[in-house]
Amino acid sequence: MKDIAFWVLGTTLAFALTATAFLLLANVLATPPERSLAPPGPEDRSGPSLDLELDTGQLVALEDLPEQRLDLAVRNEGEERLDDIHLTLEIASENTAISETRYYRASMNSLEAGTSRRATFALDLSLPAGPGGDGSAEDLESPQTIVEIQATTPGGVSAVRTVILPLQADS
Amino acid sequence: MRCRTALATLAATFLLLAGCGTAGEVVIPAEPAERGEADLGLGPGVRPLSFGPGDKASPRWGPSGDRLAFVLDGYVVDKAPDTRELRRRTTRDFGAEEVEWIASVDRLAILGADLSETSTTTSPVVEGAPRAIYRTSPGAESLSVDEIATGVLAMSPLPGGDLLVALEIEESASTLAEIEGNGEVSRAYPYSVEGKISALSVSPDGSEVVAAVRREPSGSFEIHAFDLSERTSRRIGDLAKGKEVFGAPQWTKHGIFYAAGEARTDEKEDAAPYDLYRLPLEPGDPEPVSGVGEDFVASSLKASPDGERLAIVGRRNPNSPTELYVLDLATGVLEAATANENMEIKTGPEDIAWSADGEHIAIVARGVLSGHRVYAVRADALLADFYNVYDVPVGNLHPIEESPAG
Repeated sequence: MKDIAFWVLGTTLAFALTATAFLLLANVLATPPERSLAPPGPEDRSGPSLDLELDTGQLVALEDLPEQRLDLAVRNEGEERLDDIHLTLEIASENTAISETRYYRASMNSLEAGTSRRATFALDLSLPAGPGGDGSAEDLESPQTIVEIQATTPGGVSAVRTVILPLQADS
Repeated sequence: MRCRTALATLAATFLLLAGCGTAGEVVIPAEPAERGEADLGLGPGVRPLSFGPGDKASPRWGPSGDRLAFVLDGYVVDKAPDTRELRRRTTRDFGAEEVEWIASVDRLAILGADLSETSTTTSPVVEGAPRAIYRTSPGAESLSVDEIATGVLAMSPLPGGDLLVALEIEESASTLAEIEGNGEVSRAYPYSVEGKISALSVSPDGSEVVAAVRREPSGSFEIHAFDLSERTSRRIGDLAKGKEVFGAPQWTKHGIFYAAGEARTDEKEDAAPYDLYRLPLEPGDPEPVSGVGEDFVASSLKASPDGERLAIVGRRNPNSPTELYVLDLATGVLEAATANENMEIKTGPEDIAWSADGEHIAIVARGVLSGHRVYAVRADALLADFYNVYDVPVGNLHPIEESPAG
């Protein structure tokens, strides 16, 4: 009886050691000899992996006033998680003589593949002063407002949306 | 989630909420804008010469065709036709209205508000108010300009590369002077025309000038011709009361052409309802230009450098779209240079320019767009959302109608 117990224990131990050895060997062989640490460039990707989505219904409701809410969704359309996504939003007048540009920034730590996350901005869409400081554009009767949104990652993945808002100046 | 400091004056306010549904967004693809790639709404062969935001006006080809200058939101820029990079030549608050190349020194002459301290001009937008001419600096990076003339009513380039200007000499009298590339007045003419010269053009050989003159206080318009070599002038046309000459009459080898009509814009505020007339070079009465058709609505005109053709922005009838046409003045054949699908072509008298070789015409146009638009490109790559300059090749046009000119 004692011999049988020793035989079973020895066989089990031998099987476990052999299996562990095979598993370790398989893992070692599956590891590539070198790993490139350089992030892949945009040209390496088959399609856009980052996208920006806006709500047109909300865009229509925007007015040339402060505290205008703009929601946008950042979507990771790739197959890997994206880290350090930086959002930059610029507001400028169609009138290029008006040098005032308003900048807003936000960031996301990470975004899993196939998921999206929403960012909400509180924008000042009041019309900037013209070159003469009179608060109106001189050369366009009703200059449009341009909202340019860009999402980028340190790895070079990016998406851009430009929104043309035909806001009217107060008469 | 972490927040980063805003770049400029405003701090970002944002919330990041995990997960969300797809928003109701429509992204409009940007126009394929490469040369000759696609129809941009003005017909095949038309290519953009500028991109992005801003109100462009007064396009002018450089003497050798390697630069293009224009007014952008009241300041002046120039660029190479095949690149997008703009070179700003004035400060942004300049208030420029027109620009011309001073070919003799390869600089730009800018007509705009008189910025000198001694000026009594209060606003450049007052119709008929005298303005000043400035000359850009030779340095490519410099924004400084020299004031070379004041009391200016109108300007036109001379074939030799200098400028001809109309000057206010009294409260309601005008004269002409030539300005050299160095900014000096090289020739002052003894003309004293009653009224204010509103616009002028020079004959292809540079020896003759035709000008629209507005008499004050009646506001009636006359057309005057000036012989620069003989230093003589004569009134060659009168307009009925309440009618005006739109822009500058054009001196061609086949007569003087001008657009005239009632001093108003139509209900659409599109091309003004002007008719096209021709005055013979020999004394005679003006006559409607039949080559364009009875219902033609003319706007801006510009004679080709050789004086054989006339570029016209106008409409075949009040209900047709605004197009760029080229009228062959010898044959009377009218040719459409654009095939406007859904564009608004600027109809200002200075928003049209021939290239020096007569092969291209620059016009300014934008798309007829409304509402909110979303694009997947940056704003400086957009075309139709803003007024931009387009190059219309006119070397190989097809006639749309044949009939005698004039």
